[in-house]
Parts: sequence; structure tokens; C-alpha cells
Amino acid sequence: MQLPVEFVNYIAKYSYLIFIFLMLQGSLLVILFYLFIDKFTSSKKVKLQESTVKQEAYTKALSILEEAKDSSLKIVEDANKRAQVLLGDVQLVTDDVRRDLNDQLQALADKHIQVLSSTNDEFISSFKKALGDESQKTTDVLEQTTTIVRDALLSEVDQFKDILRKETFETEEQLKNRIQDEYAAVRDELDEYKKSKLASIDAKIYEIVYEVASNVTGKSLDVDSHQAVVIQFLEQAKKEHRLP
Amino acid sequence: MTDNSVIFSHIVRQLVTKDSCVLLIKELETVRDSGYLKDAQIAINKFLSLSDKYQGMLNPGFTFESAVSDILSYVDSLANFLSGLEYVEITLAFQPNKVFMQTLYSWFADYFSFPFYLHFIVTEEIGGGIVVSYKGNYIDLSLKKAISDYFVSNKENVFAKL
Repeated sequence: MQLPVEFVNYIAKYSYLIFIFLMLQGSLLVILFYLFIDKFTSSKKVKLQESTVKQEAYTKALSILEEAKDSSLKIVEDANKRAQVLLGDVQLVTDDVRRDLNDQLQALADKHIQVLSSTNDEFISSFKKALGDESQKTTDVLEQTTTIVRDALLSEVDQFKDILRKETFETEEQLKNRIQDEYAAVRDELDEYKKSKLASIDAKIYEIVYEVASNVTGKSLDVDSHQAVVIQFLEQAKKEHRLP
Repeated sequence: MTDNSVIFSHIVRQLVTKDSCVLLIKELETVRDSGYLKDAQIAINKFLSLSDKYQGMLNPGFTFESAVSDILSYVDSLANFLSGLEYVEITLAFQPNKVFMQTLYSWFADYFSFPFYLHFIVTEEIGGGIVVSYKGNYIDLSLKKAISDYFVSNKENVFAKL
């Protein structure tokens, strides 16, 4: 198999570029390998260091705890001793103080009782006095009030009497006037009725007289008289030109 | 027919009343009906007989020898005349006799210029006197009206005497 000439020429022309490319590839692989190894070893080292530090810290903490425990026991022991000393002192002082305190309190109580007693008496007497004064004032006020009320009531009653008397009088007057008015109205109505009735009676009498006159006159005439009246009336109408 | 009008007026003056006129009209119609039935002799006889009944006042001179047509013509004219008469209504308080009726007719005939008959109404309500009514005209000349007028115009005097 024979490669084409163009291809061979082409390769020969760019062979240096290929070489450079392959070199770069190789360098890159080396670098990557180095980095991988370094990473692996570093990790192992770090883990070891961490373990060592932890062990040291633990040991140190245990020793501190032990020291603290010893110190605390000692402190407690010292404190107990001091407390016992202090308690003994305090016991001695307390009895005296208690006795004095009781005496003072008793005295204070007595004094207070005395003060309260006197104050109470004063208060009671003042209260009684004030009560008496107020009672007197109240009595006076009540008496005055009673007098005022009585006077006012009597005045009201008098006024009421006056008003009642006046009202009664006015009512009597009004009643009297109204009765007089009513009486006058009734009298007028009666007069009117009397007049109308009389007028009605007059009219009826007039009508009766007229009817009687008409009927009696007509019936009282004989035939000749009737005939004469007819002719007379006709002649008179003719004479007066009343005939249509 | 001027002559006939005079004759007819004279006839009505004798008849005077509405009733008489109506009766004569019916009798004339009987004569006329006979003539229309072509029974001339009967028509003539009836007319002459009717003329006698009214004492000749209807007959202007017809005889048995007169032509029936002339008689019928005359009868027709008279019946029409009577039917077309005006009437004057007279109200009286008494029943008038025939003489007084004719007196009244004469009185009104002198007054009115038209042929007429009288229609009498009798009622005592008017008391006396007369009430006349014709052709829509009316005049109350009754005794009742006269007394009423007197009472109205002399009311105070009448009351004074009551």
C-alpha cells in the first residue's frame, strides 16, 4: 500500500506542528499525574495529623479535669471548716440579740398601745364633739327647713286658695255669660221659629180664606150670574186690550 | 167658493161646538160615501134628510132633482171646511146652555177674523168666569184668578181683616 504523494507532502510540511502537539500532550499528562500523587499523599498526612492532635487534646483535658477535681475538694473542705467556726460565733451572739430585740419590741408595742389609746380617746372625743356639733347644726337646719317648708306650703296654699277663688269666680262668670248667650240664642231661635210659624199659619189662613172665597163665591153664583160674570170679564178684557 | 164660505160660516155659527162639527162631518162623510158607491139617489136622499135635520141650514137649494155630483161636491167642500176649522177652547165653571154657547160664539165671532168652533171644558176649579185658549194664546179670566189677584194686591188689607 502506497500513501498518496499529496498526503505525504502535507505531513512533511506540518510535521513540526505535530511534534509540538505531541510534546504538549506529554507534558500535560506528566503534570496531571504529579498532581494526582500529591493530592493522595497530602490527604493521608492531614488525617494522621488530625488524629494526633485529637489524642493530645483528650489527654490534656483529662489532666485538667483531675486538677479541677482536686482543687474543688480542697475548697469545699476549707469552706466547711470556716463555716463551723462562723456558726459557733453566731450562736453566741444570737441569744443576746434575741433577748434585746424582744425587750425593744415589747417596749415599742407598749408605746404604740399608749399612743393608740390616747389617740383613740382624742379621736372619740373629737368625733363625739363633731357629731354633737353636726347634730346641733342638723337640728337647726332641720328646724329652719321645716319653718321654710311650712311657710312655703302655707304660701302655696294661700296662693292656691286665691287662684281657686279667682278661677271659680271666672268660671262662674264664664258660665253665666255662656248661659246668657245660650239663652239669648235659644230665645232668638224661638223668636225666629215663632215668626216663621206665624208666617206659615198666616199663609195657611190666607190660603184657606182664598180657597174658601174662590169656592164659596163660585158655588154661590147661579147660572145667570155665572154667565153675567163671563161676559163682564170678557168685555173688561176687551176694553183693557188684554185679549190676545 | 166665496158664497159657500159665507154659507159655511153661517153653518158653523149655528153649530157652535166642536162636538156638533165632528158629528156633522161624520154625517157628511156618510152621504159622500153613498155617492161614491154610485148610489146617487140614496146620496141625495141622505143629504136632504140631513138638511132637514139641521133645519135647512145646510141646504143652499138642492132638491131631489139636483145633480148628485153637485151635491157631493158641496158635501165635500163643507166637510173639508169643517175639518180645517180653528178651534177656541173655552173653560167655564158651569155647564153652559145652547143659548149661552151661541152668545159666546157671537161674541168671539165679532172679535176673531177667522172661522172657528168652540170647544167647551167645564170645571169648578176656576170658580167662575172664563179661560180662553186658541192658536197658542191663553188668557185666564176666571173668578179664581180674579180673587187671587185681589189677594195678592191687597194682602195687607186682607191680613188686617183676618
